[in-house]
Amino acid sequence: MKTYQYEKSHQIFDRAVKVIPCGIYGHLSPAPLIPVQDYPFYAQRAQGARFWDVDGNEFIDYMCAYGPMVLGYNHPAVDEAAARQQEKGNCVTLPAPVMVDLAEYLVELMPVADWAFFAKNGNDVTSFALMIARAQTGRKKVILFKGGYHGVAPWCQAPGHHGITDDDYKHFIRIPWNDYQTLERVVEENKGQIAALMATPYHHPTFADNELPAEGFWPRVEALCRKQGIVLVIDDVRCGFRLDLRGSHEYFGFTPDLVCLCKAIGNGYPISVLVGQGEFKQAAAKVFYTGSYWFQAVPMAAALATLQELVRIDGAKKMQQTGEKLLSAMVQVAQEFGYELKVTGVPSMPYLRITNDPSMMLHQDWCAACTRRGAFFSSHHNWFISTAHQEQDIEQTVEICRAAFKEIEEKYGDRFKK
Amino acid sequence: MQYQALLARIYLLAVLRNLELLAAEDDQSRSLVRDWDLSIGFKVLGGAEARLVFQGGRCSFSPGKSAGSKVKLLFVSPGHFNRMMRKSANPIPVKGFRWLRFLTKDFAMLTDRLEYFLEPSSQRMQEPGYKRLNVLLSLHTAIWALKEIAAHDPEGRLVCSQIPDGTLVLTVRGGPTAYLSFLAPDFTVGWGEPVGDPQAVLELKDLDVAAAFFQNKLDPFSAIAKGDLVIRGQIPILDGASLLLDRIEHYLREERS
Repeated sequence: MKTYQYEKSHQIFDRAVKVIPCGIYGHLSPAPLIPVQDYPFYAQRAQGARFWDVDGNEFIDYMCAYGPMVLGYNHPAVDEAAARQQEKGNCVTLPAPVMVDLAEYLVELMPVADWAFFAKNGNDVTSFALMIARAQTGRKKVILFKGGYHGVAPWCQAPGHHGITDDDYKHFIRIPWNDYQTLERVVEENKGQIAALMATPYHHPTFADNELPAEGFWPRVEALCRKQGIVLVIDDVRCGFRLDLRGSHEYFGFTPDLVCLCKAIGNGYPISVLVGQGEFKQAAAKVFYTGSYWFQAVPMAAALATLQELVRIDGAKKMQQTGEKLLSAMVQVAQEFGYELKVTGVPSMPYLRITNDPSMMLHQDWCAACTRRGAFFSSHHNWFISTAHQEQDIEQTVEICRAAFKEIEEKYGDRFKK
Repeated sequence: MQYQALLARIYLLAVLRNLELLAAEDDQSRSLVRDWDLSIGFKVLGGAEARLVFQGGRCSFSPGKSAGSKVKLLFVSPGHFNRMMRKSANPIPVKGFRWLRFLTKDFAMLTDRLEYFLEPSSQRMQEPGYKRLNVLLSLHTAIWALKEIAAHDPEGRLVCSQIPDGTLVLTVRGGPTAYLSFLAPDFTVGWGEPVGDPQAVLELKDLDVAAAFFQNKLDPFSAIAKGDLVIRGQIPILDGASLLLDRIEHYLREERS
């Protein structure tokens, strides 16, 4: 099986580092893709579930732009809706009617939503949600779960990171995931002071196995929040529309107050949304919050088309089924080679790890070996399945996995085998 | 811990500790200490203690004790010790007065030699021997400074508490190797290869990259992408160690009054 080289990617990167901090910064930085020389840096084009890098190498994409791609790159229904809106106008002095169309559609689609507020990135709406919670309750403190990701604003980042001060996290209390007893204790110790509890629908930290909510966890959390007047905010930015089109909380059987959405909603067009229950609409109206590009009509038209298409094809269910099929085949191949491929999270957003080597070096080598053969796997982050991933993608991916296991078997011998 | 107090610990337990390595690795220093036979104790009131022993052409450093030394130098505060390191104050000799001339002449030549290697210029770095020793001493300083930062710097403690258990190897291709071992609540450091497999590795491609890394002239993300800095294994360990390493800058290169 052919393996890839990335000469042009490196040439472009050499130019980039002269004029851009990190060359490529943030979550698209190649730094956590280990070994980095086995990964491409720049994409030339994309179509469906695949992209081609600047060296002409073709990849089945299991990162889906880290979530935004949900229906496939260049989806005709979405792109046509965006193009139609582009002809009418995009960033104009007044908002376009499509903004109302999209809000109405979300309110209809998601039982929890009585209103919708649009921005650009996930962190725009996670921050807005906390402002609303504080405005509504008159309280300062916020409970988060350790390792939970809510964006890159100073309040979201782990203490000790550059540019972060003590003041940035002094009103934030971080507790372990799924630990209801600790939550109850923290709420009791801070009675009347907690404005909000913000969490992802299930725990999907980077660099670690993902954890689903324990049996009865969410209903108990919801009941505690209701009793103590704490606003329950779900950060559905990453999971949204990949578990349940009505919101991931529906998948887990509870009802939050505010839900933050981004990534999959626009199939690559820049838009995020905060939806909420009616009682928070007044507070949302009072908090002044806006941005230069938040009223762009093209992403709104694209989001409306994306949601309509996801509903039409029952997208979340399709992604779960595709994920299950792919993952069960991959686990089987791993077993044939004497490796345990552990899958956590949900099938449409799996986190994978070869458990044989706890240092992750073997897993990193395997992911890299797959990537050099055309299945783009990250070793540090959950993957994303889209509705564009087809049977032939799964079959090809499984063959790539097999070839990559052969490669690491040659490198490591029986050293880590069970 | 206050800034001056931790800085004094870093100066004593990380920077001055380098004399041990310098006397072993640098010909001029080795020749200087060849016939020395004495021990020098450093006691910082409200701070750390340590002892340097010169014997048989070697230097050995022992943290935590100054008693029993032939020469004993007292510092009334961490700030006093820090000023001595910057050559703007003198220690108070409380034992071994006959060695005073030795201290101001011979011993000062050795500490000047250390300073020479720890303060690189682009001209000095052209010389391969200088570069090798600069990198060696920089890594040595870094690991022992990290030990102090992880234990006493408020941010360092916070960062350290978030690092998963495991050992990180820091290595320079064609150069020295050291390791950091996180095993909550303990944090230990060591020179050379660790016992057992590490959970993470940070490898610097060559001495030039290592020098840039220790002088904080390297953008690590770009360096990783270019293959100048190779990382493997548990990223949370690498990430945490990187944050700790960056705290050294706060003390040793941005010294405040």
